[in-house]
Amino acid sequence: MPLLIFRDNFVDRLRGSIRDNLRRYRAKDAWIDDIQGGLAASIQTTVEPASKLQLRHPDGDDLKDLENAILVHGALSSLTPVQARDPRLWACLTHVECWSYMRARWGIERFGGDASKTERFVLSRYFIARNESRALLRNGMARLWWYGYLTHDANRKNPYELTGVLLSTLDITQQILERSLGRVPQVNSGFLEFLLRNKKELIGPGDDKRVKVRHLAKHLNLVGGVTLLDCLGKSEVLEVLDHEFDRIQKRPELLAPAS
Amino acid sequence: MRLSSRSYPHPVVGNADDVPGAAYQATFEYASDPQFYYITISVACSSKTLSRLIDKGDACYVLHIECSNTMYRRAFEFTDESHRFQVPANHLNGTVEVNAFVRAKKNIAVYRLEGAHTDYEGASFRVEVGDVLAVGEGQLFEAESIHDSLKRVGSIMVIERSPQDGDHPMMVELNSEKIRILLCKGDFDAYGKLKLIPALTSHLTTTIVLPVLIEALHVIESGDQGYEHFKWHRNLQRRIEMLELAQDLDALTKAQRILDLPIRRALGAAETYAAGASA
Repeated sequence: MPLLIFRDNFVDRLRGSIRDNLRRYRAKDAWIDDIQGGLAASIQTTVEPASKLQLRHPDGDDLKDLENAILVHGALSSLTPVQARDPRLWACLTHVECWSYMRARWGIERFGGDASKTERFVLSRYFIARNESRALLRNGMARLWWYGYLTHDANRKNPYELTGVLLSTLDITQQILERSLGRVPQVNSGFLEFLLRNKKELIGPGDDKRVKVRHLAKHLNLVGGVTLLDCLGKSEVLEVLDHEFDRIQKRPELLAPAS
Repeated sequence: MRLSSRSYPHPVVGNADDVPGAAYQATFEYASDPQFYYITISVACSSKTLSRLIDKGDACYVLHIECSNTMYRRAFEFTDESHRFQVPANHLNGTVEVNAFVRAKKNIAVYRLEGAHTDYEGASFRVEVGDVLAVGEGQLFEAESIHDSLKRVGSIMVIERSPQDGDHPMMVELNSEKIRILLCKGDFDAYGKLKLIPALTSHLTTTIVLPVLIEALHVIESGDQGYEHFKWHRNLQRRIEMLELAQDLDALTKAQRILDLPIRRALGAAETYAAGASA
């Protein structure tokens, strides 16, 4: 069945009534059909998903983000970037087809009775809150597609190997994608590959690893102030990182303490 | 890429007063068709040092394109003074930032720049591959994704219930980002029911959207500048350009081309419906 999207004015209306609908955001089942205009809220697109969007629910600390990023990007790999930034698409998926996943992964109970915080949370996780790239990485469904899109590498034995590195810790995801440099394909893949090559020292829990990853991301950003990293190849990006990593291994006092 | 005046470790043409004796200027032109956005960049660099480096292949011009909406960010290199690049239309949406640079293609152990500020007199610098040697003034342009398959012409129009009481003919308001089609209560209720029936979609397009689109096209043709800044106006103008519809084509024909021959689609749907009803 082709992908559905909400009508433009319905998204506006739904966004404008988050507070009135807070009780509904706690519901077990999707409720869009029950509200005024809900039955006619969606329209069919020309995009046919390659598979059903049956997302895995979190299991304790295992949030299943990697599995779900692979699933969402794989099912919707025909989406173009312009289609994949459309707020109508992600609002429809979060409220209808993937509602049970959203409830399990992004339930609003965590805020107790604080209506303002809950409202902001719903806006950022169930909608595309603003017309900027960061909002795509906040929406509960859009983020999964964009993680896959930005790290998928068809030339690897496992095309989603770098997606696994990106999602190995929240800090790595933030350090890379929340900087504009993370949108440069060869910088993004170069950085993740560098982490993979040095996974013993850089991937996994622990303040020391986090501090080193942050330092390397900052260093790359600093170099980008003088050098057009966009024009470098992946091997040159790796060289920049190698050089700095070597330097901090020899002089750990250069690292800022964990914050 | 947000460019601010900054202190580079070497003099950079076009950056503050690093090089008063030289300038680097870029002009950009934009065009598009259903598949691509085309960006033509023309550069003028008065620095003899940089011109020599470019001729030798030790430096090159760079066009940098960034679209935050779609996380698109790419650099294109060239050595002619004017060059046209194309970006797939499905990669850009909304505000796109373009910037022009000159960058080093090789490490230069002893870099001296003619015309540099006297503070740099006698000094030489080490320049690495990729280092910025000149910056031009960037520009923003709007990429409007009317080709995208998720979006339809309908997205520039919204059908609403009229605030006026009683029966009255359909009204149109053009003073907003989207064209507002106002139906009286009876018509709006009927429309609300009928739009749920897929077989009737093309009939509704023909009955409601086609005449409104013709009206909007007449406004565009009149050259009334009061509407130019609205999204519907920009969107339709670009659509006309992309479909390469001649300026002197009448509004009725233009509207039918924009809506992809709605009469034919409505008749086709009616035939299918009639065949189904008689089966």
